[in-house]
Amino acid sequence: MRFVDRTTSTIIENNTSRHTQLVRNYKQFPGQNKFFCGGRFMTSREYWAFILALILLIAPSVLFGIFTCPFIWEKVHPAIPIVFAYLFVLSLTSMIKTSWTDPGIIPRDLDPFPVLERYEDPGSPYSDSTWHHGIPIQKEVRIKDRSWTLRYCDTCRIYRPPRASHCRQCDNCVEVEDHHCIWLNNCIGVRNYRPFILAIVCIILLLMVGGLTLYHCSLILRGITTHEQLRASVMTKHSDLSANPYNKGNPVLNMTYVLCRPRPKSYLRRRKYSPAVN
Amino acid sequence: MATRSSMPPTSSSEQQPTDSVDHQVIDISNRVPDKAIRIERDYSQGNGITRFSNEYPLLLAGRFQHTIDGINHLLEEAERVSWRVVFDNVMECLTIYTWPIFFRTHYQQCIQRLLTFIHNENETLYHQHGISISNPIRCAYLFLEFKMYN
Repeated sequence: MRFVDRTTSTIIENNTSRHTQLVRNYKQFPGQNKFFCGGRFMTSREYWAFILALILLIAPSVLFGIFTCPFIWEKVHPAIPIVFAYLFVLSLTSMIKTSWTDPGIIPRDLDPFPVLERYEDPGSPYSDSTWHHGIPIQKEVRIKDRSWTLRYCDTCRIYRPPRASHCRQCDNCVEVEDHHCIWLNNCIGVRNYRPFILAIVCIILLLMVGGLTLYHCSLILRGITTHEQLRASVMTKHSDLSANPYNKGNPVLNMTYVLCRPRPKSYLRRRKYSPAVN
Repeated sequence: MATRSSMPPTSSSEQQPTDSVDHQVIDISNRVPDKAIRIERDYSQGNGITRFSNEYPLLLAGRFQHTIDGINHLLEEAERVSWRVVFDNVMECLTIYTWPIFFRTHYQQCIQRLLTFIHNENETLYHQHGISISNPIRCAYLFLEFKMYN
């Protein structure tokens, strides 16, 4: 009889003790994944797009934080940089969590000997073959009032459960796979779907255009331009924004005027002819 | 710093059939089984909650039914989306994923109860008859395996 003693990591066979080296599972993982920090984090193969996505998130946020946030902290409201910092940290950690966690990979070899469909028809090309005895049968399951076929995955040697899919980039079957995201260099599956949604929502909230839009909205609602606001803050004694003659008094009227006023024609006459100047 | 649990054991270069090896008592769950019976997943509810089928004819009678029902009940309690689960997940997102460090989530507690239940069933009933229920997490909940030893 054969025993595996996991406490002393030995395989004991017929009363003899044979020390066999045991390694952590991630070092022998058959899929196309990269592991780091001793197997605590995992991602897929091509990480260049993820580095690009990180740079696209971090660089503008850091620039915004250095150059614009002090102004906003002093002149607009201190809550805005705090919210910005919180959203930045949340989107960064969500991106990293989506990229570096297991999406729900199904381990291999759970069904290594499936029942094969035998070909009895003598005209079939498979009937005399010694290697090809048939393909694995497909299993039928019922889901509510519908029928669904479970297909056999030859690479992972399992019957794939419903909503699972085999990812070609990662070479794994993933439970409830949504898609493979190259920007996060990982499959999006059941285990990292929530941080994925959180990452894209937070990035949208965070975008500089979003912040800038709010800033410009506040200008529009008061009927002033950016220059007027900046000059007003520099020369606080001499200028008073509430006496702005262009303010119609009603924010909705201000916004309507700014966004819906007619657009004058260009003064440049670009396609008309003039004598050449030598 | 490598601790004892993180360093792999080294291999010895030669085989040593020793007479003085201690006859160790190996836990039954580590033995290689003679036969295994698999209970497949039951997807008919269609709500995504993990559930094992009740329709295996040989095992319908007696304690097997009770065990499978117990496992199904614990899994349903773990995976059902209740207000507590929504609260756990929303707090985890708002606190930038630090909430589970301080508070055990509902899912973790239920899975712990499931593993304790399976362990108790093994200890009290199945090991005496040479049967062992394997940990369903190991097989990714694709099936429930009853290993049989003679």
